[in-house]
Amino acid sequence: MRLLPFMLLIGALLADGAFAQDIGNNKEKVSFRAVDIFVKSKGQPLAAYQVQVAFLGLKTKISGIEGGSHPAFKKPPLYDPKAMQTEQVIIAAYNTAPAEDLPKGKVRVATIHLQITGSKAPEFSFKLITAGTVEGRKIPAKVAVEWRKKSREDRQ
Amino acid sequence: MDKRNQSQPEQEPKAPAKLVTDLKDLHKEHIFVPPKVDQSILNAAREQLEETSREPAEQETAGQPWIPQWAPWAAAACLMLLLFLTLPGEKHTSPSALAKASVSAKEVALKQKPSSLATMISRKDINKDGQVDILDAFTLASRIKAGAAIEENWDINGDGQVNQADVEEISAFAVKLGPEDNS
Repeated sequence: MRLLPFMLLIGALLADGAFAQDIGNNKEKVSFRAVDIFVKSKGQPLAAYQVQVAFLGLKTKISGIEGGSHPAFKKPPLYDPKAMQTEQVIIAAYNTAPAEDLPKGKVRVATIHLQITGSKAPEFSFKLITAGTVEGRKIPAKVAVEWRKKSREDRQ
Repeated sequence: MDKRNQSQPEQEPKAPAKLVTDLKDLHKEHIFVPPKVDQSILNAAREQLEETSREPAEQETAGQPWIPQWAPWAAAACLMLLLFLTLPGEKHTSPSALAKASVSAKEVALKQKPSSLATMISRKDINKDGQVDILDAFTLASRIKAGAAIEENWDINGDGQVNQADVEEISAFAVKLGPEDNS
């Protein structure tokens, strides 16, 4: 009971602050960008991969995930649906096709679409959890994440 | 002597007698003002005079140092905080204490069922490399596709058979975000 006046006061102050913040947030620009996820399998056929990507900053949200460029990884990768509208995700995919149908070298395996609030592009961190070739053998692959360049239509 | 300054009564204009009479009667006409209107005008005049007499005092007040508009709010906040800290009340639990309690609850839960959790993870670790990832799903999918030997304990979802549904179960577990990843 003794907390009531204190809580009321705090509530009034917070409401005032939230209103001011809301006015400020309305000025922030919202944009959509995409990052391409590449796996470099160093000449070995890539049969499976698992990558964790995190975007630093609370104003970045994952809005969509699509598959890669090679037919073996054309379908969207597996991911936790909870990753949507958050800033990090674990993506993974595999293909049991024969070695000749699997990509080698640097291949785009997925694209992550982001909703960014504000004018500053977020930084990101990424980690290859695992990558394997046929027979499920691990390979010393590397991962690269690149901002997708805006097309001429996007810029206009 | 100059004749221009001398009075010449015969040259003064003479107004008609009716006009002179009407002008004299104009001031005798009585205009009725209702007492209420009269009183209100008087009151307004008094207020105006009182304000004029107060102005010097207000000017003196205006000369005092400027006080921010939020000062009363800050004072009220300080007062409330003081009351909150000094008055006795129920015990409050700090966030760190809550976190400790939560951790200990998790520890208790894990201690109660350590074998079942470890068993579930070890069953999903198809390639026996010590971790559950997409390679386990890939290994099981390849074995199912090739018709190779399959162990009974790879029935992850417990439906009595080892098939693609078990592969999907392992895949979903591999990409699942932990509680610490969802913050």
